[in-house]
Amino acid sequence: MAPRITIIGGGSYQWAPKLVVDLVNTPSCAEAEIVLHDIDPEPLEPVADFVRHVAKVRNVGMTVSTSLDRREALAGADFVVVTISTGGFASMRHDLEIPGRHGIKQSVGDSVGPGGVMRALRNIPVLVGIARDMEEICPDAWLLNLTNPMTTLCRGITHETNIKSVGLCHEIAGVQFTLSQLLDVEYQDLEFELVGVNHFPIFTALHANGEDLFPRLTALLADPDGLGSAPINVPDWLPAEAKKLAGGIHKRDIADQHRVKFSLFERFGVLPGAGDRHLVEFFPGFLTAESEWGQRWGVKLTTIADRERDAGSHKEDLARSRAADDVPTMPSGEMVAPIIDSFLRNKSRALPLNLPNAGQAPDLPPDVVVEAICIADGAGLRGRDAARLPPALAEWVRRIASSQEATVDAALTGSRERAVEAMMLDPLAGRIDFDHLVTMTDEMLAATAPWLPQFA
Amino acid sequence: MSARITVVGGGSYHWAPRLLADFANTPSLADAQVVLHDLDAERMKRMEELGHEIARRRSIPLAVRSEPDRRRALDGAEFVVTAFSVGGFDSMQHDIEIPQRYGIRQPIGDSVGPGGILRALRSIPVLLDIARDIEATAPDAWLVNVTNPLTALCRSVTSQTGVKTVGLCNEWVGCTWMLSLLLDCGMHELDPVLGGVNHYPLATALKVGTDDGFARLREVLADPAAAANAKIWMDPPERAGWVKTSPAPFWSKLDVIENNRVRLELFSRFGVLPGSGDHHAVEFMPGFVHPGNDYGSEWRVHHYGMPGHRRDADEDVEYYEEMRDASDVTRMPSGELVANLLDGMVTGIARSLPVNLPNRGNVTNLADDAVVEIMGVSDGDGVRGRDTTTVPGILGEFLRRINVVQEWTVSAALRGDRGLVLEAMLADPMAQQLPYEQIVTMTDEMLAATARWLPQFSL
Repeated sequence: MAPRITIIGGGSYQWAPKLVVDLVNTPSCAEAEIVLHDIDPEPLEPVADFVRHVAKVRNVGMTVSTSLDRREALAGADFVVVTISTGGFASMRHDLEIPGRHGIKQSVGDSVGPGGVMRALRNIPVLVGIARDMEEICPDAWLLNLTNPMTTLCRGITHETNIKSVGLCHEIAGVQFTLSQLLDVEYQDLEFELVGVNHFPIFTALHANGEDLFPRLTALLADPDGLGSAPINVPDWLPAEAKKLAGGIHKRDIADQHRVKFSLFERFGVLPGAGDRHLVEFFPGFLTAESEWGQRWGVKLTTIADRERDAGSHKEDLARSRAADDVPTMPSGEMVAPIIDSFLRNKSRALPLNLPNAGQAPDLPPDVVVEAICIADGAGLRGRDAARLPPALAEWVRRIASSQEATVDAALTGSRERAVEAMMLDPLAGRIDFDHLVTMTDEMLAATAPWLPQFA
Repeated sequence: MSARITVVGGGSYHWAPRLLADFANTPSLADAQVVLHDLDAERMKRMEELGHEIARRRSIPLAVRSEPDRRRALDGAEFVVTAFSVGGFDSMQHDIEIPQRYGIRQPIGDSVGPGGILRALRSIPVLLDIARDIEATAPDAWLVNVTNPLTALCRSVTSQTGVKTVGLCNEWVGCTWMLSLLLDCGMHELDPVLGGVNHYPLATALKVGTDDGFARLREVLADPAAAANAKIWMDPPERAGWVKTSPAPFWSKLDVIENNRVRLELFSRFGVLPGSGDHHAVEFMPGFVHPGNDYGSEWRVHHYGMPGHRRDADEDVEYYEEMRDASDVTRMPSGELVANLLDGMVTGIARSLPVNLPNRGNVTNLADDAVVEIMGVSDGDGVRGRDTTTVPGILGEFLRRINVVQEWTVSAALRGDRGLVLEAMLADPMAQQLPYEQIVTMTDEMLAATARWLPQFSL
């Protein structure tokens, strides 16, 4: 039977189109009933129109409906995908600007740091509200969360409800691609163990075709000449345009974009597995005035203007895709379609997923949400490994987890003191002095008060 | 039977006069046989003479002798007090001054922070050596350590030897004095539940007699106007360095509050009272000694720095000279807890006091075997922890974090592992205010500058 897939935030130009393309490319999902829900009516029709276009081009039975009423959209759902942003750029602006005035510059601001804390305070009640609606309307459905900050949002849901939920993030796929370029190994041949929290997962083992790749990576990084002259591995399946671009790139160029994770790898022997712009937010010592706010580490700060530009381009992309007479076949790297396919066909897949700790992360407390390789199949989801970290990094993730727990608690209770605690325990917010931290927290709570009803 | 007490570092101007006077003032210890051992023969002799003088003035059988050979000094001891500093100010100046060049100003620098870490690396092998001698010559003796960094040092001994070890510190005594000023009570009426580490003992509950002390403290803090007009029972001694802030012509409760801002702010906000002076407590947390608040001046954090440490040492010499030249022996307890602890064990009369012992489920935030500062009971069976507590919220997490740094510091000291030293620095609340690259260079610099006191590292 065709699955019914509800996308909350279904008007997202960034997310909905690529998820739909992945679904249509997945035979078990090609006949899916897609339900798009959004609080903004404007993009719903263009996105729905795109779904119809894709179904028609591919000549499959995928159908689409839209709803502005969340409970109506959830009726009969088998899978609920959540891609929202409470307050959008209007709220997120404060996440970056207010800490900026207090001497904290964030490279992303969507996972931890003062911005990540505030974003969690805004989104957690909304996610919990969705999950509570699901408990009433579609209690057996899976909630697939793609919204940030992923760890705290998933934790809010699992803390408060019994809905089956999982957090999906594409960050690992990006690192996997980088490693395939550097290590002359095909992307799909890489096998690994990892453990951590979202945007701060750590590869504890890396293999391909029976070979341990960590020694090879160590040797490569220790050989600047080799790095500078060696061309990167370019996979056959890349589109022609991208292949041409990749031809002129040396491994040194790639390694330079990942200096933080490779420095940490050289020191600790395990490899942090997210983009450097994310990783630097999980430590106090990288985003500093002395490093020109990460520049010396090759990290660029993502601004609201950058995000607005991206959002504009997503909108244009959709218009172009609706007019095109073909649909791409390359997977987007998102895991929504693969995980649904695994559930529907009992097809076992190993995926990096965000789930409550039931042993995947022996270094972290039970029940906190961790990112680790899990098995998805007809029986659901479960951790595959029990990956241990070297003590230094275990402690860093543990510290992040403590701040995240305080964040979730603050979001659920509306406690200002708990919000201050979350900030003090956070690696970026915790860098300023206590008075400024309290002032900053108050300013951020006040500026985003319209989206924080629980703090009223 | 007279107690047999060996003091390693018995030539200390700070410790020897205080311990000897406290022993003389404690009936169960007034006939003790005290052996002073020190590397400095001249000072050791000087303190031996002071001991004889105290016994003579009081006409008590207190027997004091000095012994330059450590093993002989330990032979037959029931109690071994350890009070020493490896390298003295020559090494300690690097603990303070190198971080200062990087912008880290440690108010004290002897417990955690970059200075505390380096001090532990120097002192741990020495204390362990003493503990191994105790195992060989006096295996049933209690090792009573008063040397800093207390937590890391005690932990190194309990992790490596079977020697019965307890660490003692007077910080909580200072806190009871502060509380007695605010609550108008006697110091002896105050009974806390403590869960923490040395210099960061965290009170999770407090009794004043049978009253809830925290409730009374909250009442005082809630009414600053009343506090400004409330006279306190004792003016602060000059050396406390307090600043008079209230308009009243006398020292008021508001002055007490204003000169203990950090710990009282933390208590008001988070419901847990740090039981050490603010100058110690701030080294265990980020955000209080920071360029953004002029290194804690707005919180009235008192910075010792090297001048302060040197002044303390000069005052210790003066204190010794006064005691030497006096005609009697002071009856004033020193505030140190060694005599109290020993009295409990010698007489069998149970005494409650703050002690540093391996965690036996006493502080649920920390692993068993970590060395914790808790209320303990000393009696004929020795000394053991009294309470079980969980430190809630952010202070519980700060405690957990600092204890991780302490555990790594001990491992680094035992193994001579530079990588572990760096990891401890990266996780330390003071050191981690610096950029990553600077923590690396600062650590290298500190290890290099103190290399001659770090034989276990091949530097």
